[in-house]
Amino acid sequence: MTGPVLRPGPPATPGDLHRAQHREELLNGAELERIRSAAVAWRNGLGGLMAGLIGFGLVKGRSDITQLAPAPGIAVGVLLALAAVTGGVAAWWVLRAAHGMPRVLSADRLPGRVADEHGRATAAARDLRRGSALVVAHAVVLITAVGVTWYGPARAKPRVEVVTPDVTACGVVRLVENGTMTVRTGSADLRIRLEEVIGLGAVDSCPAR
Amino acid sequence: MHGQEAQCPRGDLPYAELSRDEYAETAARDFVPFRVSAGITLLEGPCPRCRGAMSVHLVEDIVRGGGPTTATAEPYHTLRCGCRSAHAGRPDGRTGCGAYWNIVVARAEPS
Ligand SMILES: [Zn+2]
Ligand SMILES: [Zn+2]
Repeated sequence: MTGPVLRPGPPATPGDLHRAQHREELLNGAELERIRSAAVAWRNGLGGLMAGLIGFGLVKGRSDITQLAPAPGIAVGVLLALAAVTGGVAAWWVLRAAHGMPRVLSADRLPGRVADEHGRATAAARDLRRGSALVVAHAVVLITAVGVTWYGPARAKPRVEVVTPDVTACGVVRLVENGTMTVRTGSADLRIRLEEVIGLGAVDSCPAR
Repeated sequence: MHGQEAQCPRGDLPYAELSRDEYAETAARDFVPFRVSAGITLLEGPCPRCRGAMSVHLVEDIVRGGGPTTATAEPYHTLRCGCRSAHAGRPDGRTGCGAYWNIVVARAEPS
């Protein structure tokens, strides 16, 4: 196995010198610290989002998802689960970028300081890139869940079933006045005298006619 | 081999940021490359101007602000003298005698 070989490059210009100096400053000026502090900023941002998720305190329009119709309720549940997963994985990557992961290396395999720091910095940068993308995905999923909770269709209101000797009416009670109950069944209003009522109960939905 | 604190043979040369065509050829001949790890190569050898011992790590990617960027867009690396002796007239924050040159690091290929 042979290593790399060296060949003379093109004539060097002052521009080359300038770039080389800039590169050295970047490399010697604590590459690892730069990426770590960027990761800490992302970590803090993610922490805020996760707190929102855990408390679900972002949801103020409707205080919880039990008022939602069943289908959007399930959707919100799935979105929250997805938010938890993306947030968890993002946290793993961002935290690893911010703080590193202790590893056991045999002492004779320890790379030199420059190689070691540079290797850890590029690994942290990779982690941070993936982690920050997931932070954004997490925020999008979380906001979608909140949006569905706020604006999704409400669970249907309970209906009443009113039974008289003549008729059985199922619908929503509109008005009770002067001994008369007005029940909206479908599109029509039905007036029922209370003294004729022999049965009254709440139902989840009316039977289709 | 040279010691870490080897004296520069031409410590009397004044600091001057300059490049000559023969620097690249001399350095390509004199420098020894070591592959440190994936993406990092260590070059060791004498400065082609002052012959002071130096070593430099070449990296493929460099971590800037947010993420890594490619260290050089050019297919070559620019090396600067990194000798440890004090060359007269050197500004603060600089090292070496000021010489710089370009070098190409290529994979070994049968010629
Ligand atoms: Zn020199
Ligand atoms: Zn020198």
